[in-house]
Formats: sequence, structure tokens, C-alpha cells
Amino acid sequence: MSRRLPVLGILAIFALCPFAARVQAQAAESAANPAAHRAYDITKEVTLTGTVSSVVKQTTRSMDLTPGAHIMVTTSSGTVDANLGRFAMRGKTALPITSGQSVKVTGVMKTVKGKDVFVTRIVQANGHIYKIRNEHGIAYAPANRSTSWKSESKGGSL
Amino acid sequence: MNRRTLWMALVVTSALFYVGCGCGNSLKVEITQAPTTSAPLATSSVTAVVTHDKEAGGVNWSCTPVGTCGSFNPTQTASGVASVYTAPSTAGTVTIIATSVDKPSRFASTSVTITTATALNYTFYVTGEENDGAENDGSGDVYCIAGVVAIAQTASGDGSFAVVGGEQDYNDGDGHTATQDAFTGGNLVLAGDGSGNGTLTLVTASGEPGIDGTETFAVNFPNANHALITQFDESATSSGSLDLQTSTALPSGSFAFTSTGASFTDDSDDEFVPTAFGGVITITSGAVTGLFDTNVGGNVTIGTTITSGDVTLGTPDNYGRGTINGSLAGSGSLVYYTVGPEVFRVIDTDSVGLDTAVGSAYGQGSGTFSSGSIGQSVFSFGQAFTGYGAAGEFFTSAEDGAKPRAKPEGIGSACTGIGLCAFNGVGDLNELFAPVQLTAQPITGDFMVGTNGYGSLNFGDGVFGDVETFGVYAVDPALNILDPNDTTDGGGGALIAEMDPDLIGIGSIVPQTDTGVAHFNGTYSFGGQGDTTEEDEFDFLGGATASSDGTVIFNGTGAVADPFGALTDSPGDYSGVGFSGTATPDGTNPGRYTIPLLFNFDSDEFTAQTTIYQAYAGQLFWVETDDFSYFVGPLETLSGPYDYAKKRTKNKKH
Repeated sequence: MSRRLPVLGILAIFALCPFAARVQAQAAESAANPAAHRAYDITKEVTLTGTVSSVVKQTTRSMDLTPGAHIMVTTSSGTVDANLGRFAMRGKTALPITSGQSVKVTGVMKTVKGKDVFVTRIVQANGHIYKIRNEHGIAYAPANRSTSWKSESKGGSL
Repeated sequence: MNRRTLWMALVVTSALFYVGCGCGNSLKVEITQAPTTSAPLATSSVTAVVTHDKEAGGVNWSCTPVGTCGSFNPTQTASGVASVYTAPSTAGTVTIIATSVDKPSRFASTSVTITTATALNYTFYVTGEENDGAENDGSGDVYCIAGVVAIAQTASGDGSFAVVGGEQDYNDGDGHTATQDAFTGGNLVLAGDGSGNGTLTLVTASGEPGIDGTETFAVNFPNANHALITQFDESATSSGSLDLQTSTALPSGSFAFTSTGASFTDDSDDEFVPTAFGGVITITSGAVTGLFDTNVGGNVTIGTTITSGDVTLGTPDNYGRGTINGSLAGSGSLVYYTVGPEVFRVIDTDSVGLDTAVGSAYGQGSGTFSSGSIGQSVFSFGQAFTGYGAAGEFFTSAEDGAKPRAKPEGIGSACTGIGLCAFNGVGDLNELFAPVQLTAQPITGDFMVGTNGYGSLNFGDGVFGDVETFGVYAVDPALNILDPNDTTDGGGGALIAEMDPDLIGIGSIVPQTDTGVAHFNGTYSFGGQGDTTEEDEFDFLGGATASSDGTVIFNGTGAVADPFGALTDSPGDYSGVGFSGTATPDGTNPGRYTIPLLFNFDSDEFTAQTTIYQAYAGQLFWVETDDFSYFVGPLETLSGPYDYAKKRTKNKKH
């Protein structure tokens, strides 16, 4: 609902609501100590460079892949299964990524149900930077009628 | 008459006129807000303004004919402050009178026509996903609708019940909105077979949304005052609630609220992320104060205060619609629709900010809360855009072994005050896209609730997938969250909003008072909202019988909105879908059942591995735990519903 969230001082909260102190403290503790099981830990991000060997726009039940779109990226150390989330390759706003393209992918390597999966936050290809997820690993969904995927020229701020 | 006498006569006449007309600086009473018509027993706001009221005594409210003209609460108000007028139970004309407290000779009056009960108003809301056509692979924007529909109580010649009025607000967050959009037609058609199933059609003046402004909803009435509702016209799919409106007065008192939707954020540029909000507020003569939490795409802000003057509720119109002025949870354009004195729905109508959300506010009653306010409970939560859902049950140290589950150890004998209180129990979780599927997962954690019902709940680290932290907002122990007009059972609990960086959704905690398998028996209304890994959202609802004899045989029929082909090979909306399965009680966890739920389409079928948690015989929650699909939703006793269906069936024959 909010594009700019109101931020109020903790002191004001404490003054107005005594029990909020504990709530705030708990929240602060949670924020200060990201849980080990977090789906996306931005402190573990790496960037890989390679060539797209194949593109899976949408998994089906018969595929042994995590849900969502995938690109298989051949790197100097092997092939990486880069998960692009559920929205990246859907409809008219699908990312223009094809086999044979050189790409850079930024994300976090995770083991999901016994398989290594690269949870991708950013794809750099075609001279553009495509934001796939936010810093919490939440997949962006492009607005379907008014806009398409927002891309930045290479060199833009990440 | 000589000239002197003439002048004296003119002076006296002028003076009398001056006093009589109330001109100049003399006290004057004016009724600025009152209904011209009212349904029997309906409530409305009435307001009088007193000018030159030096003693600031305000007005006393009264009416005629005395004894049969209705009532006021309060009977005395300050100038400009509303009182709630409750109309009498019989039709006729009454006169409402506002009399100056300081000068009883000064008063104002207005007439109100009490109509015969030809139509009833129902407040509704839905949220889901629009179908934006093949060029988008069907996938679409998150959208929300809230409104009030007036439905005739006498059947038309074709057996349907006409939509005779109402209005709604619609917002898809993508720049498409239709605000205070009047209904110009439509009807309610009931199956008449006792299932509670039906179809509600609404025609909007704006031509938006639906199919050129005609919205079709599948409905199922568990009783005459409440229905589950799902958009059913291939333009979108969604789920929500439709409830008899019992008040159009300005909400007043303490409320807990949650809402959810989608929003652009500054860092996402042009992309949506899911959102969740929750808090507690106090409304005094429209002025709002309180405390709320927000989760916008994982960016969590806890405990933002609303100070006096920041937010106000505008006066509701005849359909109970009013604006929320100021910034609540960051939005500058919110509208509310009253359901009753203790419940209202809220929708974000902002066409500029590119966001959408819908939610509910529930009264908190007159008492105070503590951590001990939450005892043995069933919970459910989720969000279709995030793509996850969960349900479960837990026991807290606030109660003393009411049901046969292990009590948390090492945490003392009771939850007192606003201190931390432990819980343990079992839950089922489906994070479809993580992916994480957990069944019968042992859960532990702690929570706290403040005196105003604001609190938090934390699962232990890694205990329940990525689920960890919630805001908790306690509701009136007498208020049924799912069916706010149900005053007989299911009251209390809390609204919850997830405040984790990687999961965003809302839900509820409902007291668990009966886990008896034999009581999961009778007729039920059911619904669900979910996603699949291959396609987008689907929604469903229906009516069923549950026959308990050690296991529970579930057999029903209903409607499935599947515009993206998530469950079927042919995208579309399906009515007459069979729902069946056998719910097997969990021998270790009373109140928990597993059921392979068969969706039987004419030419297709789909089985969902599903877990059910029983709060009591009249209210249960289910969650699908497959790795390719999930849904979450309620089951509610269809106890009063037969009365509604039979009544309508009789009407159809006439």
C-alpha cells in the first residue's frame, strides 16, 4: 500500500505503548540476526558469468526442477541451474534471454531438496540489468497492462 | 395610530422577529446529518450543529412517536458530534428532534421514512488475480474489490433476487480503479437445493471491472447472513466474504485490522511485490489513533504510531461507505464499508500510488487483553501472490490442559500480564515456490499480547519453514472473525500479519474449543484460494456434507474459478464440480485430519493432498500440501443456511 513507509522513532513508540518495547526489541533482534534458514541471504550473494545453455520458461510437474523459470548457465566451473522465479519469463514481459547468450547472474546458491539451485536476483544480458527479485528474495511481478520489465543500462546501480 | 406609536410597534415587531428567527448571535440548532429513509432496525449517524452555543451543551436527541420511533446512542452529543440512530422495527414515518441542552426552546427536526424490509444490504470484499489475456499468458495483476450490494428479499418472476442498489470500489494497483461505482443491475440466483450455492451478478455504472462491467460471483451461504464469494466470470479469480450489513453508522471504539495486497516500491521501479499490514486502532468521533505494522515486499516496519489528527474517518453514506483521510499504513486513499457496529472492510483506492489492498477491521470489545487472551487455538494464514499457505493448531500455557495435547514445558503454569507466553503444537505449511512443504510439523514458539490487543508471535528459528514472525491483533472475544454476524459461537482470537522478510501474508488465530471427530459432522460451506507451480491462481467454494463415523466422509458440490487452467486443461469457470474424500483423524494430534480431496470436473479430475484443522464443529481450516499446488481456506457449518435456501426456494415457487 505504501511506496514510502512512515518511519517513527522507537522512543515515541516506547512512550506511547509500554508493551511495544518488547515487540520492537523482538523485531530488532530478528532483523539483527537473520535466521540461517532464510530463503534469501543477501550477504551470501555471488555473481557468476557464463553462457546460457538452455532456457526453461516454466517448469512442469515432470521436470526435476524447482518451480519457476530457469536458465542453465555454463560457467568455467560447470553448469549452474539459475532459478528466475515465477514471473520472469511469463507473457509479453518475459525476459529476452535465449540460449547462447552471455550472461551475468547475481544471486545466492542454495541446496533445495538435495539439489543445488542458484536463486537469482539480478540478470545482466543484452547490455541491460534485469532485477528479478528484491533484496529479500521476493520475486518481482511486472505490472501487466501499464509497464514491462524495468531494465537499466549496464553500469546502472545495483 | 400616531407616528410615535407606529415606530414603537415596528421596533417591537422587529425585535420579536429577530429573536424568533435565531438571527444574529442567538443560539440555533441545525440537523446536518440524518437519513431520509431507513430500513427497520438499521442504524445511521445523526449529527446536529449548534451555533452560538456559549455553554457548549450540545443537543439532546429524541423522536416521535415516542416509544415507537427508534433510539439514539448517545442521547446527548456535542455540536457536530454524531449519535447513532437505530430505526424502529416497523415501517412508518418518524420525526427526529435535536434539542439544545442549554436552551430547550431551540430545536430542529427532520422526518425519516422507515421502509418495509424489501431489500437487505450485504457488504462484500474479494481479492485475487485478474486474467489479462493470452498475451500475458493469462497472468494478471492483483486486484481488490469492496462494496455493498442491496438485494431484494422477494423473488422476481424468474426466481432470482434483484440487485436494487449498492456501490463498490475496485483497484488493480496498475492504475485501474473505479471508485464509488454504483450498481445499476444484477441479481442473486440460488440453487435452491439446500447446498447454499448460488450466483451473484452485479452490473456497474462505470463498465469496470468484470466483463464490460458485469461481474459474476459464485457464492455459498452457510447461513442467511454470510456467504463465501469467488469471482466467476473468467475476467479474474478471487475469494472473499459477503455479509449482511447491520450498521451504516460511523465506526467507533477499538479495532484490530489486517489487510493485504500488492504494491510498487521505490526500489522495484515498475514491479509489484506482495504486502501485508496489521494493527490496532481506536476511533473516537472519526479520529483515529493506534499502532500498526507493515510488510512491503519483505521490508518490515514494526509499531508505527498513528497520533491524533493523522487519520480520520469520514462520515459514511447510506451504504456505509466512507473515506479514510490521512495516511494509514502509508496509503493516502482508503475507503471503508461498514458491516456492523464492530466490523468494517477497508480497500485501498489509490490510482496514483500503484498499489492495491483490501482488509478488515474487527472490534475489540470493551475489555482489555493480555498474553493470556490467546489459549488453545487453530491458525491459518497465507497469500496467493506470495504463493503460500499454512494451517495448524497450538496449545499455550494460558490454559490448563483443556484438550489432549502436550502442554509447553518449562514455561510456568500460566500466561499473565503482557509477558511472553509459550506455545507448541503442529502445523502444515506449503511455500509453493521456495519450495517447502511441511506436514504434521511440530511447532514451538512464543507470543505476547498487550493490553490493547497489539502483540507479536514468533515461531522458533527454522521450526516452520521460513515462517517466523507475526504481528498479532486481538479481537473481541464475542466476535466471530469468519462470520461476524454469528453471535452464537466461534468468537475471539486474533488477526495476524506475517512480518518476515521472505513471506508476506495475513490470517487469523481462532480459539480451538472442540476437537471431537464425531462433531465434524453435518453440512458445511467450504472455500479455498491457491496457486500451482505451472499456472496462476485458482479459487473455489461449495457446500458439502460431512458424515463422521471414525473417519469423516466428505461429499459436496461447488464452483471452481480456473481462468488460467491451473487445475484443468481448459481454462475457465466450472460449476457443479464434485468435491469428495475421506478425512482421516490424526491419532497423535486431535483436531487434525488428512484428506485426499478429489475435485471432480466433468472431463477432468484433480486430487489435492489436504490437511484440515478443527477449531470446533462449526469452523475448520484446510491447506493443500502438494509440491505442485496449494490452497488454503475455511470450512464453516452450514447450520442456518438451510433456512435461507428454503426461504428462497419457497419464494421461487410463488
